[in-house]
Amino acid sequence: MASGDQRALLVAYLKEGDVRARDRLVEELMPLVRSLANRYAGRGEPTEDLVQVGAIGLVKAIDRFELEKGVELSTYAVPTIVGEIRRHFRDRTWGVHVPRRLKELSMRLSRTRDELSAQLGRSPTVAELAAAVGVDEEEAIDALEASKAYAPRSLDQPYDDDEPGRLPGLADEERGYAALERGSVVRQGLDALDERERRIVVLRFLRGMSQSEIALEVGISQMHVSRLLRRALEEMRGRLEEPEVPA
Amino acid sequence: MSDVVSITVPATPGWGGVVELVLAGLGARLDLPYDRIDELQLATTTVLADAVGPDVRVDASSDTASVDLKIGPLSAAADDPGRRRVLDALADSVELQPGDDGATWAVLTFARGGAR
Amino acid sequence: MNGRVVLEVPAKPEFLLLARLAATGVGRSAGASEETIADLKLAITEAVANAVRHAYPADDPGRVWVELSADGGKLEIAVSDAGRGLGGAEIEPRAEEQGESGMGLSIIRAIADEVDVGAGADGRGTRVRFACRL
Repeated sequence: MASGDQRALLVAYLKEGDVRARDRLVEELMPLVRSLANRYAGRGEPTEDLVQVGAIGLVKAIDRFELEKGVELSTYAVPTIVGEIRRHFRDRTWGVHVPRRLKELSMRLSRTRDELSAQLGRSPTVAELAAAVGVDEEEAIDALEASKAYAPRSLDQPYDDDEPGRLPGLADEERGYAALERGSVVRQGLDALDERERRIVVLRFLRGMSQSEIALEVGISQMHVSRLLRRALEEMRGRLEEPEVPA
Repeated sequence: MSDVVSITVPATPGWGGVVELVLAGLGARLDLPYDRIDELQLATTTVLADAVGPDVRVDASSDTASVDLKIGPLSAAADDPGRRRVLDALADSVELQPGDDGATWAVLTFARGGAR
Repeated sequence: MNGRVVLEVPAKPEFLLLARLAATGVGRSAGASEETIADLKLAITEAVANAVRHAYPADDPGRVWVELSADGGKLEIAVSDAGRGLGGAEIEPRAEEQGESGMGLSIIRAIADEVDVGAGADGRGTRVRFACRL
C-alpha cells in the first residue's frame, strides 16, 4: 500500500473517527505483525496467540499515532507490537510460577472480600479475610498479591469467576471522558485503554468512586476492579523499558 | 509508634511486586482495611514508575492516625499533572520535595481509618 | 530477573512477616520453585529471629537488614544487625553454636549453601550470609 493511502486512512480515523479506516489499516499491516510474531515463535507460546497480541499492539500504535510527526506508521508501530509480544511472554512466565494452590486460595479470598464488605459495610482487614477462609495472614497476603501481580494478561480472560461481558452504562462515563481535552495527558492515557479499563479509570479518578463502589456498579469483584485499575495505570504510564524475553 | 521500615529495590520494572508484598504485610500489621492497602500499593507503584535509579527506596512509617510513605529518588516527571491526579485520588496528601540527594522525593500520607 | 533488594526493619518479632514476604517476592521474581521459596523463608526467619533475640538489649531494639540478591542461578541472602556481635561481652565466643541461636544456624546450614557468619560491614554486629540455589 502506498504510504499516501495509509496517511489518508490515518486521517480518516484520527481526525474523523472513521473506525472502518482503522480496520483497513490493521488489515494492511497484519503481515508486519505476523512477521514480527514469527520471530518469537518456538518459545513455548502458540504463534497465533503472538499474532493476536501483536495485533493489539498495532491497534494501540494506530490509536496513538501522531500525524504531525511525519513518520511512517509501520516504523512507528514496530516497537509497540514487539512491546506487546514481549509483555505477553513476561506475563505468561509470571503466571506459570504461581502454584495452583495460590490461585484457588486467591479466588476464595476474592469472593470473601466481596461478602465481608457487604456484611461489614466496609472493606475487611487482612486478619478478617484470613480468618474467614481459614489460613494465616501471610498466606492470605501471598495469595492476594499473587492474583494481582502475577495474573497472566490474557486478553479478556478474567482470573477469577467474574463475568466479562459487555458493560452497561458506558455512554455516561464516555461523556466525562470526552470532556477531557484531546491531547491532555490523562486523555492520552485513557486512549491507550480498552473500553472496560477506561470506564473503571473514569469512575475511580474522575468520579472519585471507591473500588468497592465500582465493583458494585460494574458488577465484577473488587479484586477484578483492582486488577483492571492496576493494568490500566500501567498502560497509561506507558512502558519505558520492556523486559527481556526469556530465551 | 515510629518504627520505620525501608525497602530498596532496583528502579526497573518488575520489582514493584516485592514492594507491594511488603506494603501488604505492613498494612496487615496495622489492621488497615484491604481497600486501603490496595490504594497504598497502587499509589506506590505509580510513583515507582518515576524512579531514576539505579535503586529506589520506600520508607514507611505510621502513627495512630496515618501511614506515611517517602519514596525516591524520582525524576522531575513525577510532577506530571496526570500522575498527580491519580495520586491525589489515592492518597490523603501528596507532596513532592527535594531530597538531600538533589532528586525529587514523594511523601504520601494515607489516613488509617476506614476506606473512603 | 537479577537484582538486589534490601529490607530494613526494627529488630522486633512483629517485623519478621515483612522479611518473609520480601523473600517470597524476590523468590518469585527470580523464578524460584515453591519449595525453594519455603526454604528461603525458613532460613531468613531463623536469621532474623537470631538478630531480634540476641543483637540488642531488650529495652533498646536496633535495626535489622535483610539483603536479597538474585544473581544467575542462585539467591544470596545476608541478614545483619549492628548489635553486640559474636565476640560481645555478653555473649560467649562460639555461643552461636549453642542454645537457640545455635539451633537457628544449624537449620540455616541444613537448608542453605555457603553459610558464613561474621561481623557486620563496619566490624559491628553480626552478619549471616547464605545462598539458595534456584
